[in-house]
Amino acid sequence: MNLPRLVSIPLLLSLAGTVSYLLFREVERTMAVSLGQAGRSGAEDWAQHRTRLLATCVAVNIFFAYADPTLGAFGGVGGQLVRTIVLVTSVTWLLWAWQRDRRTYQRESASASLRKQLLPLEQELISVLDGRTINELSCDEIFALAKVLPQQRKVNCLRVYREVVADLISCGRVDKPQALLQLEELRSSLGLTADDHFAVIRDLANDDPEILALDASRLESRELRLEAAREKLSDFFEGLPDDQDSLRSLTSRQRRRLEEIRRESGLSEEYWKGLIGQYLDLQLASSLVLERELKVFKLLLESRASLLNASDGDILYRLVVNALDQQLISVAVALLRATQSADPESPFLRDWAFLAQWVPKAVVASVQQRGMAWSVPDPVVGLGDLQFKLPPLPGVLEALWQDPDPATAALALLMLRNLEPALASAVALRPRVGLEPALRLEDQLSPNGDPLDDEQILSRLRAAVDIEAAGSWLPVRAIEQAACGSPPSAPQLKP
Amino acid sequence: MLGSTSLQVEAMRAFSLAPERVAHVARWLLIAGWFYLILSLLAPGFAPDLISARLIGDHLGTQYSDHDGPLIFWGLVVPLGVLVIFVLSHELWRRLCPLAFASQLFRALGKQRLVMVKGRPNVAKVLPDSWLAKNHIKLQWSLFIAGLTLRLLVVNGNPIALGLFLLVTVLAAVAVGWAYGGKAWCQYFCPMAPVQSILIGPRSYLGGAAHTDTGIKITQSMCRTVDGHGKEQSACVACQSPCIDIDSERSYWSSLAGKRGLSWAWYSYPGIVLAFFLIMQAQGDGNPSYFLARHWAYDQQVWARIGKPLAFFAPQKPLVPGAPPHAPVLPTPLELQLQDNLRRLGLPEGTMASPPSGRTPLSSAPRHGGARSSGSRVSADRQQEDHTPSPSPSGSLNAPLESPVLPPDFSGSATSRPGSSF
Repeated sequence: MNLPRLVSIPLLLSLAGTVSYLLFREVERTMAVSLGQAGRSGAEDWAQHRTRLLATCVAVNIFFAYADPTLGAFGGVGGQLVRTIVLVTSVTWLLWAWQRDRRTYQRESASASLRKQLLPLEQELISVLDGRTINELSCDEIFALAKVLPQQRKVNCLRVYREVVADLISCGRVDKPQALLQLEELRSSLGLTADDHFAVIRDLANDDPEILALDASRLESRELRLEAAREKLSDFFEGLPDDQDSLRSLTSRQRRRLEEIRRESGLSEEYWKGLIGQYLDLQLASSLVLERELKVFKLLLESRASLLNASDGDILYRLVVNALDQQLISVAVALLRATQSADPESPFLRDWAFLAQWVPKAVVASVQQRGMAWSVPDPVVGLGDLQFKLPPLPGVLEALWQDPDPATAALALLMLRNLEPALASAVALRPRVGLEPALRLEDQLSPNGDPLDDEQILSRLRAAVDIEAAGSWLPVRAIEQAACGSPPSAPQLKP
Repeated sequence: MLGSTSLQVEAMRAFSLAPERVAHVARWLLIAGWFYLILSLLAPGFAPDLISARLIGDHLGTQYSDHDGPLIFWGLVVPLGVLVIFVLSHELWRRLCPLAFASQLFRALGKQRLVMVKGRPNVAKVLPDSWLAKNHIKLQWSLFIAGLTLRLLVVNGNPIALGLFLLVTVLAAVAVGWAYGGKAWCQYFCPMAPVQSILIGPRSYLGGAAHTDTGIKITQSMCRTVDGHGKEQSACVACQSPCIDIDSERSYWSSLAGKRGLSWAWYSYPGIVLAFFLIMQAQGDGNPSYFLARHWAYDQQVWARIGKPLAFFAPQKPLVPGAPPHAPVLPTPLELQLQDNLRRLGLPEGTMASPPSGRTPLSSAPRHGGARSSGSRVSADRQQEDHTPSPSPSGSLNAPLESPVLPPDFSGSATSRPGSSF
């Protein structure tokens, strides 16, 4: 066969690439089998990672075996030196990367984020730092240090955990559906539970509804664009005289520059307005937040009332109400924050004062435990009182399908199935975007695989609930208790 | 990377923390060098003798040019780039790359392509769900193989072809920079991008650890600019996420599975590299000097042989008379070692021209003032030049420079050789 070079050269390159690909795929497969047999979890990922490292080492050493960037200088010694450097570098690099995996990276990320949160507390922790600074501590030491956070420990810990989670999620360094598992060590160091994790997710979702809706890449893109735009806007507004505090007072040249920044930033209109508002009119920005949060808060109160009305003594409704209260806490915290910088004459403040009367004491106590002062203006009776409208019960349960707690979502779906099976089937197909998948109650309560119908599951759950402590139980507690096996009985909810 | 002392951490941050103003100057120098090279390749009359030092000499025949530009680019710049990325850090290269710099031209002018988004003009971006975002590795790898093919067929030693190739590349980068915001050229089109990903793996040897650098907002080779107060600020428009410039390790773990075409690119790369050099050797049609003495960088008529078969398995000229021929598969140092060993054994010198001892493109070749010769013809005066080799260091791999023997005349048809040929 005498193919012209025009054909044979690309053919040879492709053929060589194919053979090489097949060879390394075989290496990967063999390694995966070997690692799997050795009991290594994630054997396929490990095999792929390590095979890629090997391919890189082989490729780069082949390259410099033929290519000499010194062009034969010093009698070829230069080329030999380059080859030696490449060989040593590749071996060292291979050894370093060989033991590295995604979990290590995520752990280091969490540790770094935690370090950032602990830095302001360095003075308080000086007694345990033993002469070192927080920046000098290793990854393990940082987790250990978090265990000794002093004063108002729970508040500190929750705040620190919230900031770390927000940081990691916004940078895309942690997968939201797996965040519970990936941050287990961090929670353990801070003495927090899974419930605290879900509370933090609710807080974050409340402050930023897109945090769950967007995947890691889009979230990171959004944060990067916001950060870049923020820096440019800071520069822009710093250069303005003090009396130029609104868009109307800008010159046409300044407006053009502002428009350039907006165009380059790639931000959506909503984000852009929010960002501009922070610089031009803080009260306006706060009012926008108040308006949004009040709508959610009112809906939650109405949903709560709807659940209590429909409970008819069924203790499981009490658990669902408790779960809903967790959402109320998040929104109340956001509202309290927004009211601090709102215009005192804002009608939203009046609405907030009205709604706050209906907040249960337990929610108020929880908000105060978060370090927020429950400062609510006195309600002005008769002026613009909001009208409550109880939403239908299926709709309330449907909304709970998106609760960060997978146990709450599972219980809500089960109860919805009892009321409207068709709607429940449709809801079950909806993805829990950015959240962990809902628990499968059948698997939880019947680990040996015995079939359980909905009634049996509901009975077991009802029987598992401690009637005296039902006021503070969340669905996950009842499921755990039922999974241990409690005697079947159907205690009635006390009025 | 290999330790956690603050000194090591600072060393690893050096490429990221190097002032943007310094990087900017470096980029200007590199792009100026790039255009100077293009100009000298396309219009040798405009370039001074600095880069027409006639490394090889006049004796190779009219099919060889006298321009060192291809050797400088393919033999020096490209391997140096790979070396910098692998041994130092991708951050250094990605902050300085002249093509990345050129692609920001329209952004600097504020004249990028705009698209209407909800009634307002925005700079066009590659959307995460677009074909390009999902398949860019396949596109880039295809361009990479096409580029290697073009190099072997036409561009390797032909100054005009190389000049055009470099010019078209720059223009392509500028065009992509107009069409899309951010570093779209680097992320979605540049054939070197997947190569860089392969070379650095989770993190380059001296690369910084962006995920643990909590005090730094602008990490690794993240896009940045300098504001009116001289302070560096992010210029990131999130053209790709995750981004190798922001956190190369995060990008690596995210792409471990599901990045279309990356596994193929990664695993095929070693084979392609090996095949490339073997093909280049085979293009010598049995003359080892073609590769070892870097004649390929001056072979301006390589394109004339694209219709001829490649004598891939043709035996090489033997190193010593009567010795069995060897196949052109050995890398340069092993070839040189073999020659050196044979000479130590006192065997008669072979017919192979060895690489010039101690001569670099810009060193010992004779220079001429006044009018320069064209790329293809040789003046009678220059044929009289002294080509006495300098002595080689003792015990080195480098053989003493011989009076070079004329290689086969490539201007005629290639000699048909026994064995497989393509």
